[in-house]
Amino acid sequence: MGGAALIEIRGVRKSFAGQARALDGVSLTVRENEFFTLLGPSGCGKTTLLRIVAGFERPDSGEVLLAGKDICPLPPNLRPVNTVFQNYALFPHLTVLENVAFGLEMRGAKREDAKTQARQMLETTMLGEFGARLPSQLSGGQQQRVALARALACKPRVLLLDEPLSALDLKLRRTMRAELKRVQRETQITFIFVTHDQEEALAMSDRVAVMNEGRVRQIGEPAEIYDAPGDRFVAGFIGETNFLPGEITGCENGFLRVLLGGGATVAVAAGNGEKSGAVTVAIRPERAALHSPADTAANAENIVTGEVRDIVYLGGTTRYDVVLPDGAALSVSESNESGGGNYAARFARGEKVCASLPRDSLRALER
Amino acid sequence: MTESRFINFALPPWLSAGPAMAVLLFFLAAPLCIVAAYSLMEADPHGGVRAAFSSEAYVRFLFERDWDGNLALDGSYAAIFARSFLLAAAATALCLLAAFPAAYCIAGQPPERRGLLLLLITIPFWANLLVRTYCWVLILRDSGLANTWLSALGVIASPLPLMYTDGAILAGLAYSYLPFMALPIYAALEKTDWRLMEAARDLYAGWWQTLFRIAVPLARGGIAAGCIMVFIPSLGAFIAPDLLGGGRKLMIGSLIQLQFSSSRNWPFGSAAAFVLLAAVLLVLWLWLRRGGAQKAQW
Repeated sequence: MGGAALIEIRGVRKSFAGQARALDGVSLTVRENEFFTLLGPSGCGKTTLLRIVAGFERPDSGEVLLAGKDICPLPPNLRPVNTVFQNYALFPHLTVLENVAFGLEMRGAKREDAKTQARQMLETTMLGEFGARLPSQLSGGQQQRVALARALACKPRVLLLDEPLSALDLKLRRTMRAELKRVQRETQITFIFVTHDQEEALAMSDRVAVMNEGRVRQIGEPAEIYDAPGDRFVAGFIGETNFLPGEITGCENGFLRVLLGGGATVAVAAGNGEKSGAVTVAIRPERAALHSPADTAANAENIVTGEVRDIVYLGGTTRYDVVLPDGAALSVSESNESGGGNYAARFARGEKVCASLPRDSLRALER
Repeated sequence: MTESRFINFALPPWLSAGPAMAVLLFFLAAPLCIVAAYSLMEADPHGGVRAAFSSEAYVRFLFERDWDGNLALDGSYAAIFARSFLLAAAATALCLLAAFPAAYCIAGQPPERRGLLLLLITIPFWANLLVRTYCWVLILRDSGLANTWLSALGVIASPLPLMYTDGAILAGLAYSYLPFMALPIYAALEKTDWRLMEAARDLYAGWWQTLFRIAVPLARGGIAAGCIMVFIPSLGAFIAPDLLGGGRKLMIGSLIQLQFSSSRNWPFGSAAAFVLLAAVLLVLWLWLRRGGAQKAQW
């Protein structure tokens, strides 16, 4: 993704009376024709940032450039930006068709032209038959599509989506995820998508900005965010991660040597992180592998030993919760490949096991 | 759902509705019956009524009886009615113009500030209506606040005749009943999702377009309630017309009040009250029939 910068957010700060700072110096760039996601827990400032781009809030300091022009002084109705609201905010007294035509009409299209265009928009989103209905007569998924059609009808430079899928049930959410992605590809409109759901973020985005406590913690492509988390917050927020406390003892061949609490020394790929001192070693449960102590001789590197404390069968995978000698917990997830109803766990509760931790999958992060 | 909410009491509906029925009976139906009866009796010159049937009160409303006992059409009372309706309608419009922006602004405030602002709107209500109306006399009379300020600013050379005009009555009426308009509109706006206004702004609507295309239609129920609650008391008002209008040009309220006090014609007062009630019901019925068809779409 090497498109030109469309939106540049520079050093935006915002605080609300009587509350902690909502945005504490956020800078990021959204490229032309990109599906960009702001991901973070509730209260991290992602919605505030979206509202600043939409024009509903003004930043205390910093600027928001759209195609090189500062849009902060402009009211929402003068920005070529449209929003899909969390609860859709469809006008309850207008029909579906009137809802979709509203923006076109407000921008100066004649009522009949606006309706014609809106009708075409509804046809392409498979909502043609619902034009005469009121929003309250539609299902949640249909309302969601109307909200999307209404926002896209005006062909904005940027479409802002504020947790648009959170009110839908899981199955519908999956379908809408694919549909949103398809719409973005076909319309070639830049999407800024706000969500607290990491699965959504990974599945749909070209790039993700992970936010916490009013700051951007990491920006990157989904695989980068998942495989090379920049800090402990990102590693813990996206997916499941084991955190093993350790101490950097040296560095050789581009790998850090880390002494874990249990006495084992492991090699860790040197990221852009810590170089010395106390660290946390992070590894995803599916990247570690378990062996019985007998057959590890050949593969002696990056081995820790422990005892199986719990086994959780999850259908596609089985999770082994292992306790290391220093009491640290290590979850290892194995996919269950054999079918035919003859499933049996490879290890028993209380059994001694060895876990190999591939050094490319380990990350040394600040504690 | 017409089911009684007191499901645990196995009372028959007519009994569980008893207290409400009693209130309606004693405070609504009974007084109305008395007024209806009075309107069909003969006037006692010393006040009160004589127990004899007479339709004279209703006849007098439209006709004048000359010395020979012949009836001639007389439009003067009908004119008072028409004037009252016009003044009440104008007061309602004035209230709507003033109250809607106020209610809209209050509803857009953060919740903790709304309570205070609503309190400020209702505070004048705590003072007696007579006192409040008299304040307008102090403002509007020749040596009143308005004229003093205007001449101090050099806008006028001699005092404007503000008192004893329809304008003065209008100001008094609109001021008296403003909260009746503001509160139901606020209640309607407060319930609406404020993000709808944001959505409208987001979809390129300016401030006015948002107001007229989204806020006003969504507050329609509150506006209708407010209009009814201002129009009807304005129609029957007599304090503002007496104090500010000088009592020279009557409104219905003053006319009725006069019949029970100095004119001592209780049957005619009762009849006028009944004609007013009928007229109000007719207007309401016409309005609801029109508005009801629109509401059914929702």
